[in-house]
Amino acid sequence: MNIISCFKVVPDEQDITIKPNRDISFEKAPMTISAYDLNCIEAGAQLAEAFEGNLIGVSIGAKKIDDSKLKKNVLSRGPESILMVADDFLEDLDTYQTANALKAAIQKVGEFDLILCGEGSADLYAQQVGAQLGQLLNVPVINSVNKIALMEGKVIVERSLEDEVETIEIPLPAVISVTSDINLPRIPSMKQILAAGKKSATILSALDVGIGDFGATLQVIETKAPEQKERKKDIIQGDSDEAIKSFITKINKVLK
Amino acid sequence: MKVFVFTEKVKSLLELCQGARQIGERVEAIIIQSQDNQDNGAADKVWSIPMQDGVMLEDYTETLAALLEREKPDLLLIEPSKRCKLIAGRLAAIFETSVMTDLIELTKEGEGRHLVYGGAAIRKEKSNNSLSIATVGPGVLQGTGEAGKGETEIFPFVEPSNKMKVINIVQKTKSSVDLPNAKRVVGVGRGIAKEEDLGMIRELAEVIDAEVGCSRPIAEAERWMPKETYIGVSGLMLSPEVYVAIGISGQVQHTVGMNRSKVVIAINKDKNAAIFGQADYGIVGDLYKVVPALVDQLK
Amino acid sequence: MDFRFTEEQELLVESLREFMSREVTEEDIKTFYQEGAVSEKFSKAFIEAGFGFLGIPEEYGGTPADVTTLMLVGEELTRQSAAVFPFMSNILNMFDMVEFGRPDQIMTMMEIYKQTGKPAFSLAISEPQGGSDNSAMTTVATHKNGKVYLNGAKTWVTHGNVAPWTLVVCKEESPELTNKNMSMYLFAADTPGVKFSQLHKIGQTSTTFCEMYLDNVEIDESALLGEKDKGFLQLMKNFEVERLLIASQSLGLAKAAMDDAAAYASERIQFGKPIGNQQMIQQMLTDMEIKIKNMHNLLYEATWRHDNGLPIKLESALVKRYCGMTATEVCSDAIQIFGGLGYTTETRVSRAWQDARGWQIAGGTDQIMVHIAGREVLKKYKK
Repeated sequence: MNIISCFKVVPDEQDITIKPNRDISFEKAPMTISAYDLNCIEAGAQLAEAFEGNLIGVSIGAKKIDDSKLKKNVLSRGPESILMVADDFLEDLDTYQTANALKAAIQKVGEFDLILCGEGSADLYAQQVGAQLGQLLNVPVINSVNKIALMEGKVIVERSLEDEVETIEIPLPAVISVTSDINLPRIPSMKQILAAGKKSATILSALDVGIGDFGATLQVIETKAPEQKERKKDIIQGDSDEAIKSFITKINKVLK
Repeated sequence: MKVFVFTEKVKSLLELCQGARQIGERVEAIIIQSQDNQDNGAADKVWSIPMQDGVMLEDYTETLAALLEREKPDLLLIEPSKRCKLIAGRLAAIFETSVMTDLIELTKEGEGRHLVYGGAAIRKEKSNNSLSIATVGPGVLQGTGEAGKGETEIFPFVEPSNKMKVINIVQKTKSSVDLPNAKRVVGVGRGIAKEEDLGMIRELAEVIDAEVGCSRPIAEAERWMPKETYIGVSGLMLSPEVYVAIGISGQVQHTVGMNRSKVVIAINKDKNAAIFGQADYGIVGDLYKVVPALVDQLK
Repeated sequence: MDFRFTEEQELLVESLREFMSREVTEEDIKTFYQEGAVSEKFSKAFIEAGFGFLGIPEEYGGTPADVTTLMLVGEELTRQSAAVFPFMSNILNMFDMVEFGRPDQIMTMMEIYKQTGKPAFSLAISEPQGGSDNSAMTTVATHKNGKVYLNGAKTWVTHGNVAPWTLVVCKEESPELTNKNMSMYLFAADTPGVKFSQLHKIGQTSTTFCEMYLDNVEIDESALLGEKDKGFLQLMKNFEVERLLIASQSLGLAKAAMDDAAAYASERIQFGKPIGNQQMIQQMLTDMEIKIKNMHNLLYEATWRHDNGLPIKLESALVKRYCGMTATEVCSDAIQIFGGLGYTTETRVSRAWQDARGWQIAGGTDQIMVHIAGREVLKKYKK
């Protein structure tokens, strides 16, 4: 049983800053595992542990994703090994390019039974890579999965959709995008962190996996912090009966 | 520009077709033909795919691809439901492009805007491909009442390469709230101490004829309210006429879901709470004092 | 010179932060402090996440960790919560156990610890007339008919009335000042003749603090822990690490107070601008930062020495004294920055200050640290 958990390396959202011209700055943001992919890695780890499978973490991106601490972080969460395609030419990809690059990386892994993706990436959250990857690999693909039961040659998954919960049977190999409800990602213990340093990570270049020139399918025109809408900011201090009364007078006009 | 529209729900189809008129001069709808899925009169043409027994919506992807390939529209608008996002992604892979997802704005020139970095920024982008695919939420494209010609053509089903077997479908107990279409919304956050106190919030909502939503922790950490009611990144993006934030600090993850509201009213005991910077009216006070007083006096 | 921690240490600290944000809220902590006990749930979670087993040998189910890593955990646990939990002293107690206990004693204690995450035993050393002066101890063990009888009184016994077992240090046969023969006995805290009476601390109230009376307590000879008559030497064995561990918690409290005070200085508007714009406040913050850096560097230089097999007799005393005193100063300044609010029980800084004060006394007072360090300093500079 070969399981692949795909993960994206993103700038830590908490440390993204906004410049006065509303540009976004990543200067202070360290690279980290995309939050939704922690659920994807955990789902893979639980399946691999239950079925004595082999879990591989796969990621693609710029050279800086090949970071020793980040790799240990991933490996402390269950995968036996990591395969990364790290090349500066793989920075800021759109979802079609990402799915193509992942496909090329996964073909280096060889045989696989199950590929897991997160619900979306923490930075762009397009929720598309799983769908596109499945289509490109020409295998069954499903999203919004919050339960996986692994069986011989197939999986039975539960999907949580807007109005219904759907149970479906999918033949393997397949690509599955999991929700953030599927599990609570583990908190790596010292034992797991120490063990991570002894696991293997393979780092390849775009050339190694045969990714040639592929153009962007979406043209990014700009990325800016939203302009704040002007608000009245008529704030009353304190909750004395009088203050509440004057507050009600003000909002009554709006609520009429 | 020729715009095709595909949705999961009949109701969304009408809305999106009407919205599509803002973008293109010709609007064609694609439907899976069944008893309860009839032409709604908003499109110039309806492509009707015969409904197949035991085939899930996602397995019509190949059929959609064949239709798009033949008819070559400039833009495909899709409802941003989970099923539809999967279909959109697969179609984009087939047409060697990427989907512009969860747009909050789409211009005639095909430029879409959507939130990135957890709501910290808005990205403007445009497709490089001859076919643009976009998922657009309800209320984003303000529709017109203009009716279409409404001719119908049947397009044959194409057998999918990988079929899935649906074992079971259970309807979720639907919360009766319809937050995206509510004119007034009360949002409740960490400021409330226990689940029972939601009663007081609901009472206020009833008095001012509003629906109740919440911030992420109330739905995810406390689970006091259903996940479908949380407002913010990866939750609901609302633009009601009045939004009342109660006990909500106003972190960006939440405010991106409500900052397009016409009027914002905030109640919070922390005068430094960020929500006051985004409010038209506010009161720095204990919500346990303010809310009952509001219920009492607005009745 | 490289001041960085290892990637493994950084990842462990990240794990601990995630653990804290998931498992405990400020409301919970307030409850622990009011009720004098950490909840079962949080104690168990700490153990299950593996933090409680750091530094305990693998053969007993532990995870080897060097002292630097252990201190990082002590510091971060305290910093995230701005509170003192019994967890680090539990680990330290287990060090004594695995070092001196027989396999059966170790297994019994580890079993309790593993299941509850709570202290398996209390450690009773100080006495009303013998605190820092251990030789003034008068609790005595007498041996009759194959049994041991304990008589005396202990005080400042942390978690005495809640831990199921107790480890008592006492003199063999005679309470004489000249008698240097001490032993350690491990027995059930509910053995007939054992009585506790709770004392009330002003800080660090997430666990209890007791007086303990031993009235002809009959125990088996097998209750002996380690070697007979060598109890005092055994006790000394982990004192140096204990001092560092206390200092790591002092440092954590100071950093927590700084986190809150610096954030407050930027937010609090007076006279139309944040108080942090005032130079008087900036000077306080600057000096607090210098003190924190000094504490940090002094502590981790000592742990580095220890992990590299160098002696820390002098360093551990310097660290304990400096961090104990300085953390109180930093927390006190944090209260000052918070003004009136700082003097209420609403803020974390007021709790940090109360807790920090305790570390100037527990585990050897500031003055005892001078007593230890002074002689070492003279020795070091003797020409």
